[in-house]
Amino acid sequence: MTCGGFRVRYRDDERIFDTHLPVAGLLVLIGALSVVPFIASTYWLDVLNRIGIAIIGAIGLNILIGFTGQISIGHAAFLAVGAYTTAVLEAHLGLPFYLAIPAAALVTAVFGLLFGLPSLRLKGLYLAIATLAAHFITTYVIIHWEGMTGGVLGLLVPTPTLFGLALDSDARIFYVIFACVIPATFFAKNLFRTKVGRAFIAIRDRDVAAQVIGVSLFKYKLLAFSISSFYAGIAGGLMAHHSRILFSDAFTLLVAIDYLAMIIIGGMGSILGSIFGAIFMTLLPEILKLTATSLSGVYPQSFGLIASSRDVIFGLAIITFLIFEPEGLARIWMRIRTYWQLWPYAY
Amino acid sequence: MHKSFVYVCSVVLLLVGFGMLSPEARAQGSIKLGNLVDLTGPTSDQGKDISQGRIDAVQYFNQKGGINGKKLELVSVEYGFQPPRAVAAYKKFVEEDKVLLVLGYGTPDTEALRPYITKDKIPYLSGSYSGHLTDPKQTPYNFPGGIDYSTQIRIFLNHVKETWTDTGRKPRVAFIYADNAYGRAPIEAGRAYAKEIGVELVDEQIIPTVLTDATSQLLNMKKKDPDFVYINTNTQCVPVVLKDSLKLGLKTTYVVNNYGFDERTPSLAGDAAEGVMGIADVAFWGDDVPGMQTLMDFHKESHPNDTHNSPYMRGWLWVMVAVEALKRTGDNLSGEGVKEALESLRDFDTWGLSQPFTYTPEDHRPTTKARLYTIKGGKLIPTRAVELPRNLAWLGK
Repeated sequence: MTCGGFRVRYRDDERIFDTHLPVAGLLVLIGALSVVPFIASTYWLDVLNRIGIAIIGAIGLNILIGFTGQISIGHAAFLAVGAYTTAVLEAHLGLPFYLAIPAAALVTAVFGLLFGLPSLRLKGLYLAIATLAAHFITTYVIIHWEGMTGGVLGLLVPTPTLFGLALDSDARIFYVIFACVIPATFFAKNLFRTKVGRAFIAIRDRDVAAQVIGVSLFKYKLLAFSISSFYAGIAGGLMAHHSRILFSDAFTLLVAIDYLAMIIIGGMGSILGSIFGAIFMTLLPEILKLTATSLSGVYPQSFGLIASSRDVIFGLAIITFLIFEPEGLARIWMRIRTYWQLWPYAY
Repeated sequence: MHKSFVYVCSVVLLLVGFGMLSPEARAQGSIKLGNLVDLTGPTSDQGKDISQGRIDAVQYFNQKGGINGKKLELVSVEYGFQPPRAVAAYKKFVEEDKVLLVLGYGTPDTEALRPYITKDKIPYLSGSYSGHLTDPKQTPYNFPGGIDYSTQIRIFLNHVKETWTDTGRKPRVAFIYADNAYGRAPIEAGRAYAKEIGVELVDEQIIPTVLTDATSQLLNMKKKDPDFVYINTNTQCVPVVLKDSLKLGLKTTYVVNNYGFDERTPSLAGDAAEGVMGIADVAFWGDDVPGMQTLMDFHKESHPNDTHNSPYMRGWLWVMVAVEALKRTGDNLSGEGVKEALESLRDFDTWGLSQPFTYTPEDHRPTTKARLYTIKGGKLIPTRAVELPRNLAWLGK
């Protein structure tokens, strides 16, 4: 148990974990995660896989919006680019998935850089609309470039294989997904201990002042878009393998809004917030669905009413969070943690 | 305030808990069907009636004794027209509920689940009538629940050819369709068939899925002056096209596909709906067919104040087909057994709610017959019965 903060070296100040207990806890968590596929049903593995993909996507979006302050609603487009590029690289060029996904993420990063160019001149709402252009252009290309993307018929994603083992079940994809989630989270956490991360935060807080003290807005804004799109590319590539078929209706504007809701509810400007938000947004529909399905077994006529309530509950959740806890689930978690750390003292 | 909040919460939790615990209390040996609907997405206006129709039909058949004594159970999931939710729901259907058949809904869920159902061997009776689902060699477990879109567009072109009297020139047609998988499904087939029978396709206009204004597309189309136009989009968008067309003074006859019009179109489109024709795959509410009285009685008994447009009839129709297939499997209750039972249906009488259904192991087109309706004086008037031969070259297109 810590008591106050007494540090003599800069290195100690920069540590992610002050004590060894959280590290041990994380190792236990990773160990538990590796055992999960043996005990969970396909349905819950599917949910966990989607949570993993959402975590990567949400961290990417949080880097852009939460840490750098650049509002973007084009995230679905970047996911789509990542997903389709992965599928095309594997189907047409025969690349194995562990090369195709990073390559696709790089392509998405370049794509994000291009669509991030408006951020050099626009801010806030105007930038949001400019990123919307990315979304519409991508959707249009997907539908019309039929030779590459299969157009409206969709693209079947080849099954990934590792040393001859076909990764065609949720249990096997689980390992791939979480093998990406863990480094992604650590990279993002580390990013904000470095100069680049501090530059991002400076741009969010006061970009004019940042520019005055020498932070190159050009370089760091575009870097933020690239890194965020790289994350989206990885998430998209994993999504392609998880759902096994890609088609034009899969990446609607609603997906971008879902990710936005994830980071708002989870907490903008916080990696832990992205994780919480991703878990919340993925689990809530599942819980609602289970409730609706089981209740409809008993009261069949109620199905319509309960199933439609999903959107109402989401809206309420977002509004409630913005009123009572604007900093999201991460802040709530910190408050609970601090309460127990300092108990019985108030501070 | 704090206390009443706690009371309300506990009541809600009790209801939920009761609901979640009751699976154990349900009768053993019930047959489960997966049910996917869209109640919150872009096709929710139809989804509501389809969902209601399915729930009512299942209740009705259970009242009549179920299937060989076993009760029918719907495992319903609302998926908001978003494919990932459909895939997640399907995984649960197969793993936990062990469904024998999935009552699919529309194009996104059907397309997304195509590889899965073929691998798991679960028949998929879909509301998506895409021509790509009709070839058992490519999609052995997909069963479109009605006359496929490609056959519909060919029916339209035949109608144009047959009613064209001017020998001086060829009839001119145009297609207006939504920019998504559903809208585009029959267009390739339409282009090929138009060329084949000598009808001139002068224009194609693409409209967004959610349509608020079609003026720019219609102005472009007006320049080409088509005599007949085929609209392939949803009931929500068709009135917009029709009203804008009336505003722009276009002199063309519109024919709408089965999902583009129903009892509400005349009231939604007003005067613009006059003279518009549509291809009907199901009977309309109140039509003089044998099964209509059963539906109307059941509807009045359970929820007399609810809507009952043609999607409601579709809900009943698909459950009826599923029930018949399940009855025919007898004891061989597996996905493959149900598939074979479906493929044994020959001119199956659906109480007149639709044309008789025939599925064969080589051909998953349920029917190639339909009725053309015309909207006159705000009412849907049956105009003619049309039929296309079961040309095997058209399978899967």
